[in-house]
Amino acid sequence: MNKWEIAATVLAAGTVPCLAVCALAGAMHGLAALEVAGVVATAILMLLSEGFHRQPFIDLALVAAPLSLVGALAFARLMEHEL
Amino acid sequence: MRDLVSTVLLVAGVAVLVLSVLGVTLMRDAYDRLHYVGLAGFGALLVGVAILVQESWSLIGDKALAAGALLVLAGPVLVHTTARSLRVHEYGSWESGIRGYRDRGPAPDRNGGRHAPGARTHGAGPDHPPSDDEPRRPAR
Repeated sequence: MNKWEIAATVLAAGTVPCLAVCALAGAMHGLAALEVAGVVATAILMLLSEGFHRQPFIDLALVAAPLSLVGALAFARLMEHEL
Repeated sequence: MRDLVSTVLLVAGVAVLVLSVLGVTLMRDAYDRLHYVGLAGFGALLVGVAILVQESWSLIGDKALAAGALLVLAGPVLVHTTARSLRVHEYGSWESGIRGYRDRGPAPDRNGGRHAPGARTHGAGPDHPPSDDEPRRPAR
């Protein structure tokens, strides 16, 4: 394992507490954890792309970054009125 | 030298991301958790800069930097939108407070008079007692 894969593994372990907050805490608490988990997942994709030396994989990170933003914004707007 | 710099940036980025994960996990209040959403974007930017230093200006380096910069720019937007949703979720629409102020006008002061139009009042809270149609803050 190179340093990029080790860093990706550490961050993958870091998503577990975020998912635990999403599952166990309230909806608004889970939304904050979901936003952080989206950023961490994007960083994991970037690290795996560099670690495996596969340049097309970086497109996944580049797509995941705006999609996590849009998804979090949609959740925030819908949770205003508990939809 | 390039390897050392990228390693330092990578460790710093992962540390910032782990710190943001710990903050989101350990904080008790939802507003406190939101502080760490913006911080996570800077961790992703450090990871992107580490990849850029390692790979120089290549396809993967450019896109890693773009993804990191996007996450940094999106952080304040996410925090503001989520905090606004939390506020509306707890207190109701913020527009109702402004509408009530327009209808009733400013509250009389201690001398029985009224504030001059445009006069500044101290304190951030409303200067009129809450009515029944205004939502009250629930106990956390």
